[in-house]
Amino acid sequence: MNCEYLLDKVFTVSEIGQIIKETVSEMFYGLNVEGEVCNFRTNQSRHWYFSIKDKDGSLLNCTCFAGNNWKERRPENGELVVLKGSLSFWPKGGSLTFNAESIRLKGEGDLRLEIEKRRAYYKSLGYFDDDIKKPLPENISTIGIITSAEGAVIHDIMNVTKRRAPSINLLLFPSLVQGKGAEENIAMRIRQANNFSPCDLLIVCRGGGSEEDLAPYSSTAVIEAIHDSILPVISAVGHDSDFPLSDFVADLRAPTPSAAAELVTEGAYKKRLMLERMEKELHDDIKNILLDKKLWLSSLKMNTAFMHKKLERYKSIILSSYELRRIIRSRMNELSYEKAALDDRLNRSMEERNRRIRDRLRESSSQLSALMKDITLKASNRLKENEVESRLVVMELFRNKKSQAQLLMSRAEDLSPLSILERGYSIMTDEKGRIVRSISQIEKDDDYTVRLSDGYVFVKAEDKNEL
Amino acid sequence: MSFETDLKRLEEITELLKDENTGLEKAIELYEEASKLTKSLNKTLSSLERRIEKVTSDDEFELEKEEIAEDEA
Repeated sequence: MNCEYLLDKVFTVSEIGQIIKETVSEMFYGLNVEGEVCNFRTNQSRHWYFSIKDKDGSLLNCTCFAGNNWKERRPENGELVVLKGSLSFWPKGGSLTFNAESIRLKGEGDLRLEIEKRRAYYKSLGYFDDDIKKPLPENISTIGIITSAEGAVIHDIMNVTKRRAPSINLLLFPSLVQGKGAEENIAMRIRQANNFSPCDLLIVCRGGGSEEDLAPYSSTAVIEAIHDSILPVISAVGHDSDFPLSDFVADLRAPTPSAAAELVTEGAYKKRLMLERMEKELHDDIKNILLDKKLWLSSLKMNTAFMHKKLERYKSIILSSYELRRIIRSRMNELSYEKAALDDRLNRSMEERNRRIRDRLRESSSQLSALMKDITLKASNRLKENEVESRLVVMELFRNKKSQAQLLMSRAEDLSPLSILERGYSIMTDEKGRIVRSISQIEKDDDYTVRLSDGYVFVKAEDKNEL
Repeated sequence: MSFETDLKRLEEITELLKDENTGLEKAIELYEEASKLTKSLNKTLSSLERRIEKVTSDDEFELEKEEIAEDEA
C-alpha cells in the first residue's frame, strides 16, 4: 500500500473498516490469550459470546462459534482460561473481537503434561507391572470403599452389592474426591485401611469429573499409597474414558464404581448361582429317586395283593396241621388193619397153593408113568406093523418099476429107425450119403442107395414125377 | 465348617444321589443333609445381615467406625 496515497486519501468508514479487518485477520491469528471469563452468554445459534479480562481492567470481547465450541467445555464466568484463536474486526459494529477456536482452563495443559511425565516415571519404576498385581481374594467378607460419604457413588455400590452379594459387609472410608487436600486424604485412607485391615480389599473410587477433578487420583501420594498397599486395590475413577494413574498402579481397574462393585461380588454372585443350580439339581434328584421308589412300591403292593388273594384261596383248601395229623393217624390205623388182614390172607393162600401144587405134582407123576408105559407099548406095536407094511410096499414098488421098465424098453425098440424099416419102410441116400426127403433132391441119372431092413439096393433115377 | 467344604460336600451328595447304588433311606438322609447345607450356605450368601459401616476417625493410626443404615446413603 502506498503511504502517500493513504495520507492524501479521505476514506469512508466502511473502507477503513475493511482495511482494519483485512490487516487484523492477516496479522493476528494463532494467538494464545489468557484472562478471566466474564459476561458469558449464548444464543439460539449456539454461538458463545463472552469477554476475558485482566486484573488491571483490560477487556477483550470474545466469540466461540458453534462450529468450534461443540468440542469444548463451556466456560463459567470467573474461570481463568487460555484461548487460542485470531483477532477479527467487524466493520458494521466497529468492534474488535477475539474469535476463540479452543478454550482450556489455565493450568489444564500443564496438568496433563505433568501427569504424563509422572506416568512415564512410575512406569519406569515398575509400579504398573503386571507381575506385582495382587489377585482379588476368593472369599470376600468385607469390602473397603474409599470415596465421598455423599453422592451417588457409595449409593450405587451399596445397591449393586445388595443385589448380587447381600451378605458382604461394606466399610466406607470417607474421603475428599477432588480439590485441595484430596490426594493426601485419599492416600491417608489407603494407609489407614492397611494399618488395620478391617476389610479384604479396597475400592478407590469416585464419579465422573473434569481432568482437574480427577487429578488427585494421579497424584504421587495416591500412587505411592496404592503401590504400598497390602490389601488388593481396585481403582474405579470417573468414566470408562478416564485413565487416572491410580488405574495403572492398582491391582485391577474398573471402568466405573458400579463395575467395581460387580467385579468384587462376582465370586459370591457365581456361588449363589451355583448354589441355586445345585439346589435344583438335588431337588430333581431326590424327586426322581422318590418317584422311582414309589413306582416300585406300587408294583410291589399290587404283587402283595395278588399273593394275598392266592393265599386266601389256598387257605380254604389247606387243612390245619392238627387236622392233618388226625387224618394221617386214622389213615395209618386203617392201613395197619388192612395189612394184618392181607398178611393173614396171604399166608392162607400160600399154604393152599403149596398143597395144591404138591397134589398136582403127585398126580402128574403117576399119570406120566402110565402114559410112558402106554407110549412104549404102542410104539413097539407100530414098529412091528410098519416093518410088515414097508416090506409089502417095497415089493409092490419093485414090481411096478419092473413092468414100467419093460414097457419103456419095448417102446424104445419101436422108436428105432431100424424097427421102422422092419415095418416096410426104406431109406434113400444120394451119392454123398445124404438122406433124400424130397423129390427135388432127385437128379435124373444120378445113382442112389436104398436101405431096407436087411440090406441095400443100388438104383439109378431114370425119371421123376412130383406129386 | 467353611463355605468351601460345605460346597464340596454338597457336590459329593449330588454325585451320591445320582448313584443308583444309593438306597432310598441313604438318599433321603443325604437329601436332608444337603437341604441343611444349602439352607446354611444360602443364608451365608443371601442373608441381608450385612454390616455397613463408616470410618469416623481421621487419623490413619486409629480406626473408629459407626454403623450407617442401609437407606442412609
